[in-house]
Amino acid sequence: MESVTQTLMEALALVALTAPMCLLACLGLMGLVGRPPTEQITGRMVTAGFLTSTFAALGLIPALLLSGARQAQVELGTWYAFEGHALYLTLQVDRLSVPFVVLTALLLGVVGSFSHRYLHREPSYGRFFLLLALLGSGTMLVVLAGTADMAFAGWEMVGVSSALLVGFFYERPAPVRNALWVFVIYRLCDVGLFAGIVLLHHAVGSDSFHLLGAGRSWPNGVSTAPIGQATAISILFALAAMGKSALVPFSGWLPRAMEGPTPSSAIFYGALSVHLGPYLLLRAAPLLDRAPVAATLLVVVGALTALHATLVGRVQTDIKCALAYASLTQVGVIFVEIGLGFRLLPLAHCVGHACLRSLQILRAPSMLSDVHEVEAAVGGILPRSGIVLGQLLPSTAQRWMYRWALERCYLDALLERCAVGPFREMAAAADRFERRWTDRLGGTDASAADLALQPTPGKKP
Amino acid sequence: MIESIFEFPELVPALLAIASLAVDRSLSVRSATRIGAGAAAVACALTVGGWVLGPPPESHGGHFTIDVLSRVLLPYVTFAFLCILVASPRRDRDPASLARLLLAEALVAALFSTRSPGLIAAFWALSPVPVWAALRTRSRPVAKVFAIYAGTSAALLAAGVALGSGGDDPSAAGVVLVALAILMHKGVMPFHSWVPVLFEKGAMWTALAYMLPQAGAYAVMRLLVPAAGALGRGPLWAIATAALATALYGAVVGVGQREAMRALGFVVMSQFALVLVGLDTVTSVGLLGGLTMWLSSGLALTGLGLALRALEVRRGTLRLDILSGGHDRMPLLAAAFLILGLASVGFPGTLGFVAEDLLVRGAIGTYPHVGIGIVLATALNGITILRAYLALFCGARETSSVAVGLKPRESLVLTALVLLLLFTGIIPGPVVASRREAVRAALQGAKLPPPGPGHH
Repeated sequence: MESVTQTLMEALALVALTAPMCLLACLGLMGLVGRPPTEQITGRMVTAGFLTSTFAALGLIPALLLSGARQAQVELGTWYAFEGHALYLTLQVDRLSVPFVVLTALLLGVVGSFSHRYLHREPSYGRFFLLLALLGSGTMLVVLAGTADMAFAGWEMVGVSSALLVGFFYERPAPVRNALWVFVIYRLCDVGLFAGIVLLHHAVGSDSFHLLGAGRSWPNGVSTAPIGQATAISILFALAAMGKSALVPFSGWLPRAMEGPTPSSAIFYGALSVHLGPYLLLRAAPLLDRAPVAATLLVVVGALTALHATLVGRVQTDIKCALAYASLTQVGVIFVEIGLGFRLLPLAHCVGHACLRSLQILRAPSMLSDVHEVEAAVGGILPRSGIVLGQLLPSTAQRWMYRWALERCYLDALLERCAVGPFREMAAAADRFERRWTDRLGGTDASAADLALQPTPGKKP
Repeated sequence: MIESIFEFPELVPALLAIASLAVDRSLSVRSATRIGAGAAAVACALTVGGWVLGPPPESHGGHFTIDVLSRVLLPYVTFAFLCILVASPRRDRDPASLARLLLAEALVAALFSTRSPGLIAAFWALSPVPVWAALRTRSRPVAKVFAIYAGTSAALLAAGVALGSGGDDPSAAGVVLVALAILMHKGVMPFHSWVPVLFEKGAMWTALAYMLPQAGAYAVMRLLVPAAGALGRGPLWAIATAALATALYGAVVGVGQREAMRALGFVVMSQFALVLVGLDTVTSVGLLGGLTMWLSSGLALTGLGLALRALEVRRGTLRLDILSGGHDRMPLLAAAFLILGLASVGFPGTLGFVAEDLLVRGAIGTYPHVGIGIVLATALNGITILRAYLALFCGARETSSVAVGLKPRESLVLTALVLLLLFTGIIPGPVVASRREAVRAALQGAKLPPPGPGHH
């Protein structure tokens, strides 16, 4: 019985992972050879791919409950190997990954079905589903990964697809600029994840999540890594999670991400993408348990983020931004829970919050109609909520905080002044030196060739 | 027929050199293209066939030989040059340019077919000549800058080889001179300034023809790694450190560029420097990572360069500080640009990811900071790539009525490169296996002691 359950779990996990990947491969290849499928065929392919993944994911629940060990490692083989070094394709099926797999598959299916109608006759209909399949494949890879290397691959796929979804309406300059900003934040924070993996290899000698918890099932894993190394790795993982989940000081990308189409917003910052940060930290929980400094950092950053988001969210004038900041408030609270040492609570919080927020964002385009219906039903204008706390403050403080919230706590300005600006200056200085040197060698006028990095008016990417 | 390239390693270089002469005498672009493409295709077929179907290579002991290292490098070079020849726009395919391109290919093929230090020095000195000749017709100042670096590099290598950089008792002075020559040829700091200029002011084919073979990496494998056993890891680690600094520096400066070709130059400089980082770790996995990145970044950046050139022909100067749009009018070009660009910086699902993973794993055993430096450099290069994609293809509606679609030969080459990088990224086993023997042979030749407790 045990072996049957094990085999079943392996098969279901494999199907749940590969279904979105097959969809991605089909859509991608057809587009690449210049034969993109019609809307109808795309819709059928998407339905088939996501339904298959959803059924397989749902099947994992009874399979996991029936298994005595409450966890399984699915060995898919070796991707490549050389003299003791190998990248193993291993899936981790346990009480952490299965809820996320089910959530991912269900939300992909719901958003796919919604988008089929929402984007009907949109010129980039096929491209949206290609990116959705890429995001789905990446998310599945992250949540099912049995090794940190595999998780990193999925993490990167989610990052690129998210940025491209933000810039989905590519004929307008604002989405394009915002897509680049999102990608920059992601990419730089991803260095934390890879650096953490590098240190993990160095400290533990393996990047297997199973071995990270000494073989015990989640959330009972125990790490034997030295405290110093566990702290360093946890902080690096926390950096990656902060970028992916838009925590302070990286929250500036969140309102910029509103430029994407509503269905991608629902799955991107409402449900899956922003919760991958908490997922990563929960997966690395054995290390966090040995790193009180990193745990404290999570509590502080999470609390700051929750405070920031609830403050800024109150002054937003469009529903998508308001929902995004509401989402961020909850994500901040989830980080606090993880930092305080809870494991099952943040997991339940993630799943519940993702479902609620997705529903709200998918309904956002119909918000005016919904409000009018409710107001008609109650026979009057709905009262404003959330103003009690604000009225407790003195009027000067109210004005000051209102301005501060409108400017989103100046976080982007802070990043621009402290990081982007100096970096740009340094690069510009280096480039000027390069040009002068080569012009001197070649015997041309340096100033005539000095085109790089000088500010020019007009649209900037 | 295919086995003949093992019996006569001079066959491919000779064929290309003869074709170069014939092309130079052609009277029209069409006939020059036919002759050139035919010769390049035959060279590619011979080398690929030799790799896939040929017998296990054996050392012939002569001046020219195809061994486990060159067995994969030759198909790589001939395929990349074939892509350049086929996908270059018509204005780049005048008989004189094509003849120089074929001559450059012949010299590189000859270089990759020899292990003799003297011949390496000779082909090393000759290989920049066709590129320099083409640059002179376009921009004399650029040709002068290029000549200063390439000429100095050739002189240093010749002096190093003359002093004795190889064998069981290599001269330290010879090794230092060879190392300096390699740094100059590869565009490693502080000898890197010519690389962005070559891409910005030169024709794309000249930049690709000189950079993509990565003759500097070949010289490391042939001249420096064998000397490591006698002189220790010091010289190699010095090169690796300089290469890592170059990768980071190129990535930082590349992010802020306002001109697409110059930005590509910095990305190429940065990514190709990572190949040296891997080779100079002289660990089995690091070497494997370096050799794999040699192929992956070379093919991806060749495709990226060709895509940029195709766009430049249609649009003129490519600026990154304005949003140009045109995605819906050139969807294949935009998609190919994005995929090739991401492949060059190690996006999952492409061969670049495998190469970067191996490279980092090879480095972390002994020096974890090298691994983190590699990741930081590729992260910054990734930002440059996406920035270029968004600026060149998005952000505006292109209203020009001029037809801008790709020609079939351009589509064919870009699609082939994309599929090749994706296929080898998803199934990397054959590529990794093909490099395994080269790594073992290099380590055997180096006779190195283990580098430390962290070495795997």
